[in-house]
Amino acid sequence: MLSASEDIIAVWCWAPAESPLMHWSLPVTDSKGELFRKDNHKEELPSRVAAAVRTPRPLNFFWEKGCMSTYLLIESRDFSENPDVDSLLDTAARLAEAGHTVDIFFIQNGVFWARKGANRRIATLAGQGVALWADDFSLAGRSLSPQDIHDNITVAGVTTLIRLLTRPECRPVWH
Amino acid sequence: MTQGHWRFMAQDKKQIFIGVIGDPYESDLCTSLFRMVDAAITEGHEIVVWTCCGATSLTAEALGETKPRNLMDIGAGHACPSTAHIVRGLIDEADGSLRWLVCRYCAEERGVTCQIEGVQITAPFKLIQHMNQADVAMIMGQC
Repeated sequence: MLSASEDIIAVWCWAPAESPLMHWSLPVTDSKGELFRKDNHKEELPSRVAAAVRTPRPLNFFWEKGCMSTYLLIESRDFSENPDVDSLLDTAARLAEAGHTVDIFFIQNGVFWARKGANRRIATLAGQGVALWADDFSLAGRSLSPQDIHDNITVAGVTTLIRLLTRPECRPVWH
Repeated sequence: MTQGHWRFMAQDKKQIFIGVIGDPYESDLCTSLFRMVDAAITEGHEIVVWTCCGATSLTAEALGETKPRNLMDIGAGHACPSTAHIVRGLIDEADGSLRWLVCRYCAEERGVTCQIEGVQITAPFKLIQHMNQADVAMIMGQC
């Protein structure tokens, strides 16, 4: 049994399968970074993991610092047909802030977002490192030329979309 | 084009799963789907397309080879291919790397159980199985 005098730091977090913590059940440690299993059998963590666990971190530490992912957000709608589009841009901004690789591909009516002056958030997203793309076929179908498009947006075809989609560990979202 | 846009790595052949859930006439969804499938075939990937809800009618046998004639412009003389014809062409072009699946429940509900040759009517519980087998999965559209 653990004594009341020991400084116990319980680290509960959701971590992906490749995280070292997933190899340990009920990761409860004392201040020395030693792990207690459910049967209170002490085992030493690898030193690098013990160092990470010993230092106080927010619960989403592993998600923010160790689990960078690639997201492809495909926006097919204009704000006039669905006000949800703003939430997709919000999501992209938050993912970029968390350090993930984010691409937004505007297609179909979503290319209306790509026009110059259409949305002030485009420049902000580009500043955060979000890559922005607009589908050339959708632009042509809506009488928009590349000159009408925001400077931070790259006009590309569907082949580029497929290449973005097939990047390793890419997580696509069609909106 | 900024440096940060080029994030491509060497492209291996991947298995792509695209689930299409939407009525083909509501938006350009169908056009985007065909373009993406064509590009994926050209890039050498394997594609599994799962059609659900209204998208099951894309490959209905009753559509025939061409769309109905535009009686307002009958002198135009050309006939636009039907979606069934386009899908058949994609399957032929893919030469085995494209599987077109149709959800059986959705097809039965919409009376489109007679599908063109080359597509496969599948039980809905197979959806997750196909998604798990793919390297990348994406759902397009909404019911």
